[in-house]
Parts: sequence; structure tokens; C-alpha cells
Amino acid sequence: MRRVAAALATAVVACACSPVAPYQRGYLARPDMAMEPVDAGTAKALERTYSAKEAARGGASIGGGGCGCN
Amino acid sequence: MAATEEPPGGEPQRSAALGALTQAALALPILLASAKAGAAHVGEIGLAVLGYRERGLIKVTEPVLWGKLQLDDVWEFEASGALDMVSGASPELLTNLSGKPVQSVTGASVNDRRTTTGLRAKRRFGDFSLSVSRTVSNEHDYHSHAYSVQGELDLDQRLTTIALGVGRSDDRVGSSIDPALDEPRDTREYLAGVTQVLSPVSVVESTITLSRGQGYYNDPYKSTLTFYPDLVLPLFVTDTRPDHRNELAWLTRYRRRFPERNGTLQVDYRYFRDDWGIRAHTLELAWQQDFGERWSVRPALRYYMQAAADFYSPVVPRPQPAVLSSDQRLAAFGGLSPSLRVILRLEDGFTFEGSAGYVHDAASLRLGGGGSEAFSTLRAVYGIVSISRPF
Amino acid sequence: MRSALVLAICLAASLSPPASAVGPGSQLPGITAPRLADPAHRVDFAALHGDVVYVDFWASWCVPCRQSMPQLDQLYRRYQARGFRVVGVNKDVATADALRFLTRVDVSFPLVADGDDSVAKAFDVQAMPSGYLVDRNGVVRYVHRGFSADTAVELRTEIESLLGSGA
Repeated sequence: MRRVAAALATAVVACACSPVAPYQRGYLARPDMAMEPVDAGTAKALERTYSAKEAARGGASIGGGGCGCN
Repeated sequence: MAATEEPPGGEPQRSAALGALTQAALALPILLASAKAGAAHVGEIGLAVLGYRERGLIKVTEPVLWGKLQLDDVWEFEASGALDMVSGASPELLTNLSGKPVQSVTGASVNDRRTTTGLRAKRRFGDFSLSVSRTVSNEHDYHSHAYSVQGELDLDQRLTTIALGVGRSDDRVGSSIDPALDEPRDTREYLAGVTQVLSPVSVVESTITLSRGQGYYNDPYKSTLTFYPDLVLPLFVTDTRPDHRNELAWLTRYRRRFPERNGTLQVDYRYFRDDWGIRAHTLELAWQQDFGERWSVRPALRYYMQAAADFYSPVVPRPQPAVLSSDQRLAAFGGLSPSLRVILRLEDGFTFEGSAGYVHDAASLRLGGGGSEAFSTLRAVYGIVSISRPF
Repeated sequence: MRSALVLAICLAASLSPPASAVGPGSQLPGITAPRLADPAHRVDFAALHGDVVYVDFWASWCVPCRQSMPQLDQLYRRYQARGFRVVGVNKDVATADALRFLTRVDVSFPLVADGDDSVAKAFDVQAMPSGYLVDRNGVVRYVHRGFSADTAVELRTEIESLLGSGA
């Protein structure tokens, strides 16, 4: 666990130096490069599908409320 | 959800659901009206419909309406409304009458409706932005009000973003088979995350969410029935869980564009643990391939595995414990879910998306073994169709 | 040990001097770029001598550009007859993205593509959008990073002063 965290921290620090100019954001602005699927409806539907059958929940956001999924 | 017939007052419920969706839909024109003050506005509105079917058991249909509006790069609003319609039978009783613990479904089929509406407003102050959100969820045996406040700070010309948030959810749990049940469940949530641009073609985000809740966690519809050869009467225990739950979820997401291949790699990994003894890993790998300007195809594979809760048991042990649940969502199992999404983007901005997925959860799919014996294999399919357009 | 080395490299990198910064007083870089809609033909920045030029770096993914582009178009139309020119340098990775943006925000001034970043590097662009106001002698006089309601007002004053100075 600690080694993973250390590696992650090193990667973040190292990559923070990788030169990405302010005008080189074209690829990053693509919808498939976003963290959430751009379609909010699909994202919510998928979240509901899996979380209703699993004990693990959340991770991406908070304040979503509970579910009486039975 | 275990009603033997549609709960009385179905009509008002239906109009309540419709009201919720309408409310979300109306929020947008109101925002548009305020945008007419000459501000440059960019927005998007969409509708998605989910259809989910479990082998012989449950059928779910869920339309979701959503909208986003950006004003001047200063304000951002988001509204959504979802109507969750579940029908079918939900497993309620785990009994070992046949010798082995087996799930049985009692009661006739069920019709349940849940409406969820959410609103979010975000304001930018230079490199810092603040967002507040409110989500309300209602079904006849469950009500939830949740709020959250989140701040984000952009560093290094938006190459690094740090997010911190707090949230709170006040829920009330009821039961359609026990009208006297009306218990609260309150949860506080905390979020900390960092997003880092690694190169012009790659970005990574890692977020930790902590949740501390107390209140009513029992499932009012589930129970366990265990026969012992030396006992005349079987042991019967209704689902009893701890009155608190502390959870931690650590989600890391990576996106990498391969311009030469016209494709994007998407990797999501989540580690989850709580003080009920559950440990879960979720890994999703996806590749989105572009075909020309309009079409994209995204095959994906999701693997999930969890360890059972400390108080999970398909049979009532002796001596009988204070907390016990045979709900297989707390069991040890693994799950594989392949899916395929097809996206069509038109020149005028209209985007159509179709996704189809298969969910296969089984005790045997747990990496490293140890799946719960009594876990009843889940096989389900789902399809999502959505349409969205910018304005 | 490795972490310490990486940290040291990062510190060194952050302390190194920036590439030749193009700011007030610098000469307009002598460079050419292909036209956005017609890549076979190129725009020569050196040929712009004699006019007051605003070189604007924009992209479809740049949110303030949704405001800056129409405002620049207005300025262009207003002062074109007096010798004011605007050249929009597009930073989209795919021309199709730029063209899609232009269907909603149409402009009348010439646009060029900069897929290989050569123009952006020559101007050492530090923010998006960025605008460089150049006088009739090819000397950069004002640089605007980002775009707000104030930028348009400031620009008008600056353009007027450069146009009025003649020569």
C-alpha cells in the first residue's frame, strides 16, 4: 500500500513538470478524455445499475443521496 | 419493495414522479432566461433511458433528463431528474429448508417507483471555484435529502486541480410491509481529490471519499430462516445490521489519447473498504475507437470483486449473533461485466449514444476464490439509449 | 532516492529561464501559417507590415473564445478600413473541431491553422486565448492574456491609439 502511494506521488510530481503548454489542450478537451461520461444521464444510469447489486459505492462524487435499492 | 400489490395512492405517486421530472426540465428555461442578459452561454440538454433486466427476477426502466448550462466561464448549472421504475420480485428469504441455503422469493410481483432530482451550481473565482449541490430522492419506503459543497483550485495554469468537498445525506427508511417503520439514517461525506494533466494526451485523477453514517441500515424486507436437525423450530432472524457504517472509497481514473490510432484508453480503478468488513475492488478498462468524424465505438470490460461483511451469513449461526444478514449483496463474490457503447455525433451537435452491457456476478468469479457458497449467480442485461444536444 | 532525484529535476526545470518571450517591444515573428479552410495557401506574417495587426490565438475548447471571437470580429469590421487587421491562429488538434465552432461563431477575419505549434511557440503563448497587438512597424505593443469584458474596452483604446499614430 505504502509503495503504491509513494509511486503515485512520484508520478504526480514528476509529471507535473512535463511541459504541457496552455495551447496544447486540444486532446484533453475531447469528451472521451473527460473523467465522467459527458452524458450525465448515461453516467447516472450506469451508477445505479452496478451499485444496486454491490456493497461498494461512490468514489467519484459526494452528495448523491442514498438509495433504498432492495 | 415487497408489496403484494401496488401501494395505495398510486395515482398521486405517479404525478409526484412526473412533477419531479417536470421540475428538472423547467429549471433549464428559467436559467436560459437569466442567461439572456447578454452573457455568452453554452449548454447541453439530454435524455437517457435505461432498461435493465435480471434473469427472471427484476426489470428496471429509468428515464433520466438532464441539462447543463455554462455562463461566461463564471457560472455553471446542472439539473437532472430521474424516474426509476422497478418491477418484478426481489429475493427476501434465505432458507436452508432444502438442505443448502437458498434464496426464495415470497410475495407477488412488485411495482416500485423512485424519483431523484438533483441540482448543482458552480461559480468560478479565477483559479478557484465553489459548487453546491442538492439531491432529493423519493420512493414510498425511502426518502433521501443530500447536500454537498465542493471547492476546486486550479494550479499551474489548470494542469493540476485539487478538490475538497463535504456532503451530508439525511435519509428516512420505511417499509411497505410495516407502516410503523420510520427510521432515520444520516451520513456525512468528505472528499479529497487531485486531477493532474500528465501530457498533452493524458490525464489522471485520484479521489478519496470518506463516509460516516449512522442510523437504520437493516433491509426491512429480508430475513434468514435456518433449520437445524436438533431443533424443532427453525431459527428466524430478520435482517439486522450495525447502526453505523464508515466507508472509504479511493477512485483513480486515467485517460490517454492515442492520436495516431484515433483511439482513447480509459482505465478506472476503485478500492473500497468499510467497517462492516467489506473490501472491494473495481477495475474497468475501456477503449474508445473513432471512425471518422461521427462514429465512435467503445468496448469495455468491468471486473468487480468483494469480500463479505463480517456479519454476513446465509445461515443463522449458533449462538445467534446480534447482527446478521444473508443479503447476498454483502457476500463474497466476483463479477464480470462486458459492455459496448456506440456514439454518433452529428454536425449540428446532436449526439446519440447506445450502450449495452451484460452483468455476471458469481461466487466462482472471485479472484483468489473464497466466494460465498450461498451466492446465487446473477445474470442481467442492460441497455441505455440517450440523445443530447448543445445549445 | 528516486523521488529525491525526480524532485531535484523538477526544481531545476522550474528555475530555468522561459523561452524567448514575445512581449511589448518585441518584433513580430517572421513566420507563415496555412489558412484554416485552405491549407494549400499560407498567410505570411511579414507581409502584414504597414497595418495594425491583432494576432489572436483561439480554439474551440477555449471557453472565453466564445466571447472574444465575436468581439474581435466587431473590432475588425469597425477599423478594417483604417488599416486594422486580425489574424486568428487556431489551436485545435483537428480542423473539423474549429469549423464546428465557426458554424456557431462566425468571423470575417482571416484564420490560420497551427497544428505543429510552430506559431504558438514563436509567440511563446502563455494562456488561451492570447492576443498580440502589433503596430504598423511590426513591433508588438500590447499583449492580452485571457479575455474578459474589460479586454474588449482596452483593446479599442489601444487600437485607436496605434491607428491614429500613423506612420
